[in-house]
Amino acid sequence: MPFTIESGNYGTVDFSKSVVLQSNDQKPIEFVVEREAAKMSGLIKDMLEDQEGDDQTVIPIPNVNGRTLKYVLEYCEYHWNNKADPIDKPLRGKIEEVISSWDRQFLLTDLIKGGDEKQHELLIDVIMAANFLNIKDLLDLTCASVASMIKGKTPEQIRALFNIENDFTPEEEEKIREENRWCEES
Amino acid sequence: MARRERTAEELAEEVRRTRAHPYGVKPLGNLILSGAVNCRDAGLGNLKQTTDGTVSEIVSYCTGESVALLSATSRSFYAFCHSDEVWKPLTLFALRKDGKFFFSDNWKQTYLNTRLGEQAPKHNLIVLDNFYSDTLHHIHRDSSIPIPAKWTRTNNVERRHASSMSKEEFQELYEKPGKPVIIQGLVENWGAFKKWEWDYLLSKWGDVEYQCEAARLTMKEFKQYCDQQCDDRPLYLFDQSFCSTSEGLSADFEVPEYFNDDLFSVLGDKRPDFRWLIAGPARSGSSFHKDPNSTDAWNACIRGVKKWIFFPPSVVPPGVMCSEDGADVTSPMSLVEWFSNYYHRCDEVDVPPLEALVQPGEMMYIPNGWWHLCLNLTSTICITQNYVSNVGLKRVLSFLKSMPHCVSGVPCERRESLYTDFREALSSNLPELLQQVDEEEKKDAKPHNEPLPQGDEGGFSFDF
Repeated sequence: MPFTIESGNYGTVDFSKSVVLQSNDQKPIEFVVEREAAKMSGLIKDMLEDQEGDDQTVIPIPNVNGRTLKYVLEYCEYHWNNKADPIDKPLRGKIEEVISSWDRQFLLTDLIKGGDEKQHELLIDVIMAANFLNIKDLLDLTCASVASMIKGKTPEQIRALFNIENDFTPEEEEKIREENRWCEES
Repeated sequence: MARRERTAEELAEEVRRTRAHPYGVKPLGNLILSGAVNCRDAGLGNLKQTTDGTVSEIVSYCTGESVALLSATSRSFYAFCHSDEVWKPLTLFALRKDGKFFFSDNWKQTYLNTRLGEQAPKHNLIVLDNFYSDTLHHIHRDSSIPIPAKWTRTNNVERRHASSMSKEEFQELYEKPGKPVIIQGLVENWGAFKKWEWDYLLSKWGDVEYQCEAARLTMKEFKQYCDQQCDDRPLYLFDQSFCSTSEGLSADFEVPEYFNDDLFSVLGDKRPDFRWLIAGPARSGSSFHKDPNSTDAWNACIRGVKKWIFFPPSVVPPGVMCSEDGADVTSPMSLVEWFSNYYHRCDEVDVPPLEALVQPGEMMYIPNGWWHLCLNLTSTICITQNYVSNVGLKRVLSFLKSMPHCVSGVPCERRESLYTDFREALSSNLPELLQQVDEEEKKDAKPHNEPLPQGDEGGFSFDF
């Protein structure tokens, strides 16, 4: 699990091996992360390129709160030297069927809370963080998860799941439904 | 004064130039000017805070059915789900399993044709009047803007005529130092140059299948696609088997004397892929790459006009990212997008690129290790071959030995052993040449200071 420290208390941190990342909460949460794990983020990797080995590297992460950052870093700490297999496009079956058991656990415990699709708030926060921090594999996993949730559902069910407003006119809706008849038949 | 009567081609070009987005998607700038409300967010629900790129990424994992049903949820998703970027890969994927390719109107219709054949419904486009997105609009823009003259103005690659250049002179001035050159007076004598019009090609080989990126299409299917498509990144026919699949084509061209050493031929049919028939519409082409296995290449332009850009081996072109060991080159945008966003940055590079506009009948020599990009300005047909000559043998052997993970053009299981296979074949067929190269290698190698092969800055991979 990502290691946090008391704010500003860097005495125990070995900056030759690790960096400190600060969340954007009012009271920032400070995570100690190994450099190699942090470099899964393209954004952080670029920042660290100009660094000398022992600099006291403390990086504020503006768009990500502590709760989300914890999970992002958990992913990086596991995967930085254990790269996930690429996920085929289009998705074959449901996401659970094509990812490792670690990734399954990672996804279905808290990101999709208790495995309940309707509880996907953290999943979306992680998507935005992975996009901002440029962590391709994590973005792939989370985007594929959303696609998996969409799979097999009718438009009504998809709208209910994601709180989507239906802004078609009745004529437009009918046009699309007619054209989509083949989806029901397959 | 009467207006000059415009031809059908000119009218079509004008319609294309001013073609509105087929689904009415407008750039964000229009939103600010009009004061209208963007339907994007309401239609994305809980996903509204993610970027357009992320929504597109989610859609890219969906199957055809999923995308179709998702497109029915809201106007916003309708827009995201109806990009050509969505339906083109789904069509190519569907083709792998089953289905007959028939391109009509757009990629969504083509997907329906492929999946459902005669049962395919007609795709009725809904034009949205309140959806604004730069990400979705720029793809459309790239597919329809006329190619600006400034992209094609520079033409500074040297030109030589074959009648005034011997093989020795070519090797001394261009192959040994590694310098691009355009050779005239060769291709124009080929049968291909006289005969290869589309009518002729289709009449003889129309039903033969060719490799078109991820798909295999007949020449007829491909041509029909070329005529109808409006892609920002059109499919490219790039086939390495044409000499065996299409009897008669090989008789229409000949390898020029400059390039006839072709040492990989000692491997017989175990040699890496080495020659391709290439065809594609305007806007198709190849993004920046280095050619495989540290080989040299020539590219004969038989029909159409091609824009080339070259950077020397040690200069990474703007917009190109190499992975650390050079094994992976990613340049995932369309050529038009590269030109729109990065071409002007060529001015900022230490070494300015070489550029050329190649006409039918001309042949481009591409030295090993040079980065190059090629944009087809019109519909084109070419032949290209890669080769190793006496000049390059030492370098290629060194590359195969030290970079086996970057070897390409042979099945995976033979990549590691290509070096030894090549040496064995050389020692059976050209023992003196191999001996000579080994002796030179010994002389070059100094303790603790072995020279690196030229290919180590970047491995090769086509990113289609």
